[in-house]
Amino acid sequence: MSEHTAAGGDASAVISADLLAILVCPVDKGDLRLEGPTLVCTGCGRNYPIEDGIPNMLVEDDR
Amino acid sequence: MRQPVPGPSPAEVYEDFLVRWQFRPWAAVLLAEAALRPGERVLDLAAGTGIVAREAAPFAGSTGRIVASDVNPAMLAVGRALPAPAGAAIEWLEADAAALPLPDAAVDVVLCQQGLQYFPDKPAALAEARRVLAPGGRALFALWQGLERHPMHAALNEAVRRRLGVGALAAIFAMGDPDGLRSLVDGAGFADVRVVPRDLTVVFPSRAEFVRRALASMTQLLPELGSLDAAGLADLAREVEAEAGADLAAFAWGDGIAFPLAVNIAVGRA
Repeated sequence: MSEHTAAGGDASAVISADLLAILVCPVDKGDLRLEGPTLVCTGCGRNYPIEDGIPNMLVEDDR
Repeated sequence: MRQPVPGPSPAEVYEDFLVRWQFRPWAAVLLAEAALRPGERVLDLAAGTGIVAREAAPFAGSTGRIVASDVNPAMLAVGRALPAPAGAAIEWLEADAAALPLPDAAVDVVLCQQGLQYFPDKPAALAEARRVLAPGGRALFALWQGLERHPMHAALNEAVRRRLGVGALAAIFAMGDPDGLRSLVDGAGFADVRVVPRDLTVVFPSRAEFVRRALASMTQLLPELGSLDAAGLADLAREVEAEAGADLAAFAWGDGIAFPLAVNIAVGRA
């Protein structure tokens, strides 16, 4: 399985390319880009941390 | 000073106990109804430690894809650490069922085993499940029938209610009405909605451990139990076991306990 590792090599930021390809922002369903160990919505700018290889896609107010 | 050896976490107890003896057999029932085909994309909604995802993986095959989503990161971490099954790769996702981080028409099948009753906003979660389904896709929601169909659990619930003032277990069986379930799923925009009843007897190997471990497992799901510390939970389990002992004895199976469980599976199409 191919995997992306974020710049800086943080092991917790490892996420499979397949997963990154299908994830969207849970609020506005916008595309996401990987910034370090974090997924950032290209639309609304909300960010979602990747923790131990599992993206935390909860909206910040609910975390 | 010697550190005490840490015991298993509630999520590990859940996987080693409730999943092994109860949710794994039931996952097979759900998958028989789902009839997955090779290459299908599957969302396991409220996946917990991922038993439905793992059982689905061989059916979806290496060309399929499974996404296991849950709001509880401790449960997901336990599932992700288990050996990967044969077949489709499983992706793990911490997400709110009412705000899924997936695009429209992303999956062919949504499977939700004993999850819908815990969603705070059920119509919103059902609408999201409908939204992420591709045209012609299907969603299956498995829910226990009512507490009145489960006398062993009714006895446990009554014993818990006497101790905590709240019948915490009732929440597990709160969506047993098939007509209410059908209209809820129908109202979320699914087509051809039907409710399929299923029965299965499950066996737990040790009756003595059953109450203690069942209650410990349920702390993952029920706020009333989750607020208890380990000592409080052990006290509760002892009291409940003493009080419900006669009712439990009726379900003795050797040293273990065996009881029938009844489920309604709501099936809807996109």
